[in-house]
Amino acid sequence: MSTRENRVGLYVVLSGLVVLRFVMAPWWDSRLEPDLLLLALLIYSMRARPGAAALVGFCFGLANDSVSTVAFGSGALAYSVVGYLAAWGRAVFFAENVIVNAAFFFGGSWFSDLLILAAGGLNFGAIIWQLAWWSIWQGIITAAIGVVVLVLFRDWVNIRISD
Amino acid sequence: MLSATERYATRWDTLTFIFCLVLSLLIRFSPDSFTDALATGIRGTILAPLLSLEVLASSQKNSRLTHAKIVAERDSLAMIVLGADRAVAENMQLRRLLDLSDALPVRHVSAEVVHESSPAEGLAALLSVGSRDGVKVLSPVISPDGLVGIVQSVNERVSVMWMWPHPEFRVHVMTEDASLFGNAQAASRSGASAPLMEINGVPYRDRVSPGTVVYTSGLGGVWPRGIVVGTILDDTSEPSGWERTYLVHPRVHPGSISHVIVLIEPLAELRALFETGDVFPP
Repeated sequence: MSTRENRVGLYVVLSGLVVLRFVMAPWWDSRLEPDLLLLALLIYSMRARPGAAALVGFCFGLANDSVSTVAFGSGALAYSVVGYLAAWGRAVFFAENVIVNAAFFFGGSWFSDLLILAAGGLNFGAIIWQLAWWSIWQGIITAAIGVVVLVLFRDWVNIRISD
Repeated sequence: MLSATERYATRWDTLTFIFCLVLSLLIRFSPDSFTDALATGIRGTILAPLLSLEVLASSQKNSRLTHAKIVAERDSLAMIVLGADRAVAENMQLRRLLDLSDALPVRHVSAEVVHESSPAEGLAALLSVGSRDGVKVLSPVISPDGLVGIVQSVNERVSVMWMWPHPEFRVHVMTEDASLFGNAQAASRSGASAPLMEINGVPYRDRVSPGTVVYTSGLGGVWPRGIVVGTILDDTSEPSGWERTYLVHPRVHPGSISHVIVLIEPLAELRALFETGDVFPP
């Protein structure tokens, strides 16, 4: 597959995830809803330079902020940091294993929640409850969907998955 | 695909990251008027088609889930309507006698609630109505059970509602006999699964017993007087303090609502509607 076809495949998968985030939102329990925007960002970060990943993270974060409207800017901050660290981390750790990828998605989801809540100025009790319970389940679901996407579309996103 | 050594952060990457970081922090700490305008702009342009899809998906979900219920309700209603003609005529006569006009005291619009995925879910939600339906910023949002929240920003087709657990939400409340007045807000001590409200700054001499119903007072000009907020649970104030803090069990749980009513001209006394259960007849 040529580089051009690879890119088209990647963008199709990313666009699909972004659209699914909005179409599927009403069907999930909102506290357990997988963060498909973040998943798209993490998959993009696996292929991109850290700077580009931070920029895309910033844009995705702003989009997320404009519909959640709780502490506008905290999502942009969190997604920028997660995008940059994810792209940088992928360059360092060479994770091609399914479990490592799942952990990568889970960690990204949980860490972005931590940053959003910390930057959002919510009360301490609400932050602890969210991070210790709902964020963990949300991260697990996001990771599971991320692994399914990677396995199904590994040729499109051009990511090797070893057994 | 780039090799690992090529993908370590270069100076350009670091500068881009710092740029995004600084811009995020600037936006985060910008005045609300700026961030509201920015959010409204994004929702009205780039996200408009995606939000339309979300509202459509939400409508389809609600249609599926409520179809069987609506059919059952329609059948029950049909039976009631058969014997309702006399009651309607009697009702109309009484209204005329009491010099009440047929017009309701409030203009309102029904809306679907689109819950968003966010770590702070339960604090805000999208509504499927916007400026074209007459919704304005600060329009009160209620359900048949009582107070839900307030419209925070408005687009043409959708609007954003702050629900009462939002940290910046405040409403002035009172008891039915006006023996207690105060500002109610989300209680800082309540858990995320069972959010509560609290009324702060109540003079120490003013006491109310648990179970007393609390209504909006109408002070401030935003909320109409008489919307049910909740019931007093407990007095949590310090014994040595000068003022009391009452914990309130709200009537509406933010996670349980799927449809709401947005008041467009909230200038009337609404308590009678909640007491009789006859909320907003057509």
